[in-house]
Amino acid sequence: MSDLRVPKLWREIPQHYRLEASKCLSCGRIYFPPKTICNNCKSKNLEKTALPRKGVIETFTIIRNAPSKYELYAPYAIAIVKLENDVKILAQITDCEPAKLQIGMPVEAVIRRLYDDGENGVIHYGFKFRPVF
Amino acid sequence: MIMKPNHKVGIIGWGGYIPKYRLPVENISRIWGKDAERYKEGLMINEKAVAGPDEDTTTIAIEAAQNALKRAQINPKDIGAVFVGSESKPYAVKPTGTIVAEALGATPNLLAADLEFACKAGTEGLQCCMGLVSSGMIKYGLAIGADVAQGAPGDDLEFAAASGGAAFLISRDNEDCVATIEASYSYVTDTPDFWRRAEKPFPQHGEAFTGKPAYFHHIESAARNLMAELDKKPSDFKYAVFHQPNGKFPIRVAKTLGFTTAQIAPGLLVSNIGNTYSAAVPLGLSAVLDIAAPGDEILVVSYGSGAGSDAFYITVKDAIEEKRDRCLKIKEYILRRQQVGYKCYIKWRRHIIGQPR
Amino acid sequence: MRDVAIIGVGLTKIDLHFDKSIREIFKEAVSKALDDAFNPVIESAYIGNMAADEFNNQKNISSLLIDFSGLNNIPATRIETGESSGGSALIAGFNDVASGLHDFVLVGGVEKMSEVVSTEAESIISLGMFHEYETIQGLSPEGAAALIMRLYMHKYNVKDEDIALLAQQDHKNAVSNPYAQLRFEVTLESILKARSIADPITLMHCAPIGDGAAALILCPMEEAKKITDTPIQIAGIGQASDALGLTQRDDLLDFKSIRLAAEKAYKMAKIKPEDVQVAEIFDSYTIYGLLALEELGFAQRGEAAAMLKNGFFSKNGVKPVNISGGLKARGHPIGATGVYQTAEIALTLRGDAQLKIDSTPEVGLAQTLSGAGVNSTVQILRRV
Repeated sequence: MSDLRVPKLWREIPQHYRLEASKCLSCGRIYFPPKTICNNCKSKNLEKTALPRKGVIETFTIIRNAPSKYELYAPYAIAIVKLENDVKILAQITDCEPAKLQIGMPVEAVIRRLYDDGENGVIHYGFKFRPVF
Repeated sequence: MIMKPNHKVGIIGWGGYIPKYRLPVENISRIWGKDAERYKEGLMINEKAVAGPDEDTTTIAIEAAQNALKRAQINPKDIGAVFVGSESKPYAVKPTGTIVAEALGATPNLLAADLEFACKAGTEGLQCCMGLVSSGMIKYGLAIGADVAQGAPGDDLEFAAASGGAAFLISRDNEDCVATIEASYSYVTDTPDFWRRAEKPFPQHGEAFTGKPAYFHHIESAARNLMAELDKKPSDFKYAVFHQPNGKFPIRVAKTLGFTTAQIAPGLLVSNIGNTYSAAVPLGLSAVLDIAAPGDEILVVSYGSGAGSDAFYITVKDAIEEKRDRCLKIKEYILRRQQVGYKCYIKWRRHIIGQPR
Repeated sequence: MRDVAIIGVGLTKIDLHFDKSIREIFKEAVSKALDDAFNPVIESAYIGNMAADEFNNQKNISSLLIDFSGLNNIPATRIETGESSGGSALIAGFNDVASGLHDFVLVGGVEKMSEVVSTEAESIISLGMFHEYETIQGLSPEGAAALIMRLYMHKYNVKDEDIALLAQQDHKNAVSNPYAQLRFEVTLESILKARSIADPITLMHCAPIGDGAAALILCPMEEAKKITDTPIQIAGIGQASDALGLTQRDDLLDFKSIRLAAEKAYKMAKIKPEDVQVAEIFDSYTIYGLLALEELGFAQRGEAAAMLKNGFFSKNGVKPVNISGGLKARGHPIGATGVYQTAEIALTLRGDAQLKIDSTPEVGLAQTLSGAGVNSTVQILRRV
């Protein structure tokens, strides 16, 4: 419905392009997107860390009734991916036929067009995942 | 004039990317009532690589560059320049190079620029990096050729215009380099054989005029002049890579220049993936490096309409053996293949009036 | 803290009310509730509404609605916690009366969704998800529910046809509810074969789009006893939030916000889950209904479907659930839903003809939920 807010997504580029997360220096918990306070131990001592780019599908769906501005891609898959360090991330699964998806499937991060704000708008890029080949 | 760096430079990492989807020639010819065999035999194109709906020149450039970085294993912060050569920039105004640099983690202390010279913008980036690196102005330079090539529906170009990209990380020549770029030679004239006016979606071309005075004249001139300057002859080279708008042109130019089919076959990808425009020669070179052995000599000649050719003399080094398997190879991308129909292709390219974009 | 009672209930039939404005449907609910409570002087109001800004191009909705309901100048506040807004409005109203600040308080809920086409409605409801990390990926609310449903099916070896039983039961119950939007029965087959929205979720696993308003009149129990023979006490309330992002939680199938809200409500009402005799649970998608049954303590993890199958939760079962028809068939005018649910439990406990069951329950529970477990409220009502 509303047009893309450019600063809102520009700010997320480190996460959307490079999967930057934060790690609690007290208890080791990793947050994606990054947090500046640890929900687990309440420490405010967190540092930047990059997530691994591979994982397995924990659960998935195939969106057939796509939200507006995503109709071009329908049907498309969305999954919760459990990364190699057990951090979970929600992402579209691209370059995969819906019938081939399954829980446990190994996937890897790629950068794709995430959102295209019409012919005159900004193109927002970000991570998706695809089957490892 | 021959361009020879004062300090030798080399390729420290290389990588390519080809989208998964393939549009066979038959799927296009059927729609337009054309003879598929004419394209398959005449142009030697069986199918072309098609970008998915969420892919564009930027995303293709990023994956190619990520592969080059995987092989180079350098700190991305040491990259001093990123050049993206393309004729299908997603934005008319807004650089692609900054997006690539950001994705690699190379920002903010570097030069980023987009280059355009029809199909040879990718190799220009190599020359820019050679100069900057050789002079010591930067430590590493990244040169990328990437395109989601346009061809108007029904036009002959549509049978070939394909998507892909390749990237090279350039360094002062050292033992981590997989190859040395010994010299380059550029040859340009004002020859309007193919063009796209501002704000127009598809290029126009001069049909037969794209051949003799354009493609052949420039490639032959650049190749001959480079070889003459270096006192090299075709038989000195293990491989040669020529621009490949179709299968016929590079085979003919190779023959004219005195190269054999065996020399050009490993870098000739057009039959399986189509003409990837700015990525065509960079991808051909990537495929050759994927299999090359230390000591091999390679001649590379790009061609960009409008018109010009960049020729390179490259010698392969020992480090290639250990770096080769650090990322997906061109062959693996070619084998990862899913056929699509014409309607799907047209939808993905957003050519249907009123369709969701 | 004072005991708080419900003395008035007003509901509108949920439908696509193209001919009525948000002002009109809200006024209708308020008038009915006031009549039901013998028209006390209302001192303040809390209105649950999720998205009048987007559906109706209107902020300041509380002043508009209160004015057009004839309740001049009273303090009126819109409460928004996504889909659980109605439940949160009830808690705000409860606090107001319990604290002694006001005696007669209106709690309303309203959503007028039919102003927009379905894709627009979808986008508006999607605003309830984590924009930069979920919505931007093309996730829809149905998609979020589908991710959870597939995991549930995988973990507990439950089939979609078992989960669909809740939708079937909802439709069956809605037939006798005059306020319900979809008053017809459906077959299991029609649920399973309906158009897929986000695999494995078909259209028939989802609540419909509709317009509706509901209103309750709250007052101190002491006052209530002077006014009505059937005051319904709000014996327990609880609310809990959870991370907005699905991946922020350790276990996707752990709808902790429902469990924590319920624990608080049970403790306050001094009851256990088994003491609840009738319940309205929040099944915006069937899977969320099943998870609610489990988190409320009515079923063991993974066993809600089996209990549905043996009739435990049917209208004449051990613990009737969603005799209104639930979100699937009564309807889900988002910000109003929590108020509908509470009102329905109140009517059932009062033995009202329209939502009567054979037994004569004394304790009932209503539960709301926002998104995929993002926020929950639990209200426990008791016939005094």
